[in-house]
Amino acid sequence: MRIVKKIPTKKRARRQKLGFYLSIVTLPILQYCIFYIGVNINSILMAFQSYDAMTGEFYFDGLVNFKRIAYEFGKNDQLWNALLNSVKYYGISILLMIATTFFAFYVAKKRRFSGMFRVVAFIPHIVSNITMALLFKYFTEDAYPALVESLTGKEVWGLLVDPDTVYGAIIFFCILCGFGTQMMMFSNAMSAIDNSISEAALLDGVTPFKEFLYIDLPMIFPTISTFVIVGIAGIFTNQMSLFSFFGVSADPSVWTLGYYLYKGIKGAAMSEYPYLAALGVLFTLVVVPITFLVRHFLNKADPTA
Amino acid sequence: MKIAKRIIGLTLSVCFILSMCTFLTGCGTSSGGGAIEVDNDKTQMYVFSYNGGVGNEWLDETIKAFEAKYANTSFEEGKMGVQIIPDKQKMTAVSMLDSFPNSTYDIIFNENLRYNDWAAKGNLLDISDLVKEVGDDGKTIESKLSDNKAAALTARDGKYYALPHYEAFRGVVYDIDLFEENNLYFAADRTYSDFILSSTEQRSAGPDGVVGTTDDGLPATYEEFFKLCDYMVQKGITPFVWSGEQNAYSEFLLYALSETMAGEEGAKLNYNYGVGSLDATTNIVTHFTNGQPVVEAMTITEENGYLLRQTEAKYRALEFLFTIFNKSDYYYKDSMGKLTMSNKEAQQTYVFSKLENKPIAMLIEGTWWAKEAADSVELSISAFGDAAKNRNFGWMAMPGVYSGTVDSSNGKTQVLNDCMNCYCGINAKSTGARLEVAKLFVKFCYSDEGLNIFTKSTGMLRGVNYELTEDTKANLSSFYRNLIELRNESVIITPMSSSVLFINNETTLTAYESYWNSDQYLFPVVAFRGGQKSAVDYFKGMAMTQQDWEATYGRYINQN
Repeated sequence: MRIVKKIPTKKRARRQKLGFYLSIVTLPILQYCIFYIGVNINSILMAFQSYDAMTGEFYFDGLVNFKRIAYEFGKNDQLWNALLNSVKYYGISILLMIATTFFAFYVAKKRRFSGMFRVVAFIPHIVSNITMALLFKYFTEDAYPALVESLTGKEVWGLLVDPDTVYGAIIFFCILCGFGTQMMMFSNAMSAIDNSISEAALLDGVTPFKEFLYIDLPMIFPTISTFVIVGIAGIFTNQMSLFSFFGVSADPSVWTLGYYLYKGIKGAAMSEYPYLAALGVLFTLVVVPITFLVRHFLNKADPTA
Repeated sequence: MKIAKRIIGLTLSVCFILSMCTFLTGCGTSSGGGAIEVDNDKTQMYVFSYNGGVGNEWLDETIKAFEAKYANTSFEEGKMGVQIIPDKQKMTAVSMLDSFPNSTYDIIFNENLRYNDWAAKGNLLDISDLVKEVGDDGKTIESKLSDNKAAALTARDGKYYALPHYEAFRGVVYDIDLFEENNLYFAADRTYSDFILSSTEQRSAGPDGVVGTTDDGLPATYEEFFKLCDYMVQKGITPFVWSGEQNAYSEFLLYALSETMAGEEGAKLNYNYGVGSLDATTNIVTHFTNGQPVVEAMTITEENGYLLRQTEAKYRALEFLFTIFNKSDYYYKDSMGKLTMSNKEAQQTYVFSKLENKPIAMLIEGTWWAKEAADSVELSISAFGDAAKNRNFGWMAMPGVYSGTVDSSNGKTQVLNDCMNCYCGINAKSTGARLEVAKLFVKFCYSDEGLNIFTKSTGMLRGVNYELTEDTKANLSSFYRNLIELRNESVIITPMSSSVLFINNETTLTAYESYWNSDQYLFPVVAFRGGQKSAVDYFKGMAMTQQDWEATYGRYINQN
């Protein structure tokens, strides 16, 4: 007896595919709608509202929060300082990125100990940020003063307490923790470059430095520009691990705008939320055009395009 | 092959669905109290209790007594007795603000709970009827609340939405044994020495100026306090230790000093801005002459609330801190900004110091410290044996006068600020039998029986007035006995008021921030470290102009 296999109709097949697709995407889309779109719409609305602590109601209050921001920026150097710290950190991270590309090249070309370097550079990412911060804190606050005292006999403060060194120490920590990702991304991008190009260059007598400068660097330009663009978006949100080190009591001299917002939300009563929401909206309004502008110029400058 | 694919697909789907089910079940169990099995023959009620300073042994003991009391009472058809399911986590009140109404919890015990936000949001049930109802002990809960507390809790709209969970103050712990052994008390008769020469010698009247109270022999003025510190240093004793990790701890001393110096009404001005105040006059520093503050008594209203940043009490407290922080003999080295010197480490250093012959006299802390330091005490007993047992610590009364002599005419009653915002409330969405049980449970917690269970277990008070039984007293450590004695001689204030200005801005109004040119300091300890700023500079930086005040808070002024 011949078994006739039932062939699914086109409609049925489509329905099955749709069912499968929906089962996969419904939950993430729902989550995205609630926790991204919903939250952001709420933040935008809240930026134009005030909170009445007596009734527990938010009410529309025009531009009052934006006026307060203007006032705060006018009289409070600390906000400008936080902005400066954020921009400074971005600048440093860009410089670091250039240095990282050299290192990534070394790793991508599988030179001596490159495998070990890759693992060592990535260790800070395997260990959680809070653990790294704790280790770093013990090093700077316990080990470093003890070391200096044993070498020089001088008593010194920990690097995270001394006002002259705290910003540098934080930057160093951020570099230490950010280095691995960039190195991995760049070395992977360089590894993807067709070997025949390198070989041809080698036959033409190109030195490793020139190979890096004229072949690898231009060819990973899209990866670099991604980091540059994402970094700009992060200027207003990066809190430089300050919360991991100091909780909500970091010294204002090292605040970034990201930390200012985070700290604000952490300790705020409901009545402070609209002000913080307005600050968030304002930062977005500033950062969006800059991001697009930079993207535009980087796209134009992209040698692979 | 296709069948194999289908089987794999089916297996994966089942695994996925099962994992979802496990996730959902986990949620229920977690919010329902972890591993406790639900007894379907009883009515359940869910309690959230923050796992912080006071621990949760008290809750287990209260639950045991409550369940026994209602073992034969039916709250639902077909069920007999109650089962209270506790959930003890470190979930902060801030993170629960939005989720609490739709959570499983019927009751919350938490600290740093912003009463006004929670009440305004409708999270908490109006429990006025419960508070005013006569309980099994023949008393209403309201009758156990001090006037200050009752006024604070009803300041919003005359209704009660929560009750004090536990009472906590910031200030200074002192080692009574060390004080006794080294005669570190001021003498009543100063003919031969400022300090007593033997433990039997009569002590000075202390900060309150009254002989025979808990603070006898303790420094009554700021000048005497520094004299005591010098005397300690002479004897090889380090006066202070505190957590270097959290700058806020060093501020505890600042609050304790300034509140007692300002007095009850003066300290309350920081919260009520003259609204409903019995005496809104306080000393304001108008300027400095030769480095000394010139003060003028002024009446505070919401219009000139900015002046409260320039009170004499705040300046004197800052000056006190500056003196302490700038004499390295006065403090344990790691306290001055060592980020790895946590509060627990400071406690352990303090507990061990006397036993290791490197004595430290005082610890800047909160009254919850003894519970937190229990591990350190155990550790010290295992290391030093009998010498570490039955030690006596006390809560230090703060001087309220800057200089001169203090007697009953100018002595200051201690002002203790119950500042931790610890509350117990019922979920506004609780209904039916669970609500009935929740109300009974709260009533039980605040009955004399429940209150004694709490104090016996934690050593701390609930933040209401009640008689301690002999059994409870016998179980108290010497520290809590001393604290309760001092508390009974003090005035307790709460950082709450009916001022619309304060209710809308409570997180920004009470800070000790200082702006000095382009520098901003959140904590005096940071500015004073290494003498970067003087007390005068810091204090001047705290000033706020009328223009700033109006720009920031103008819309809330005179809204009562």
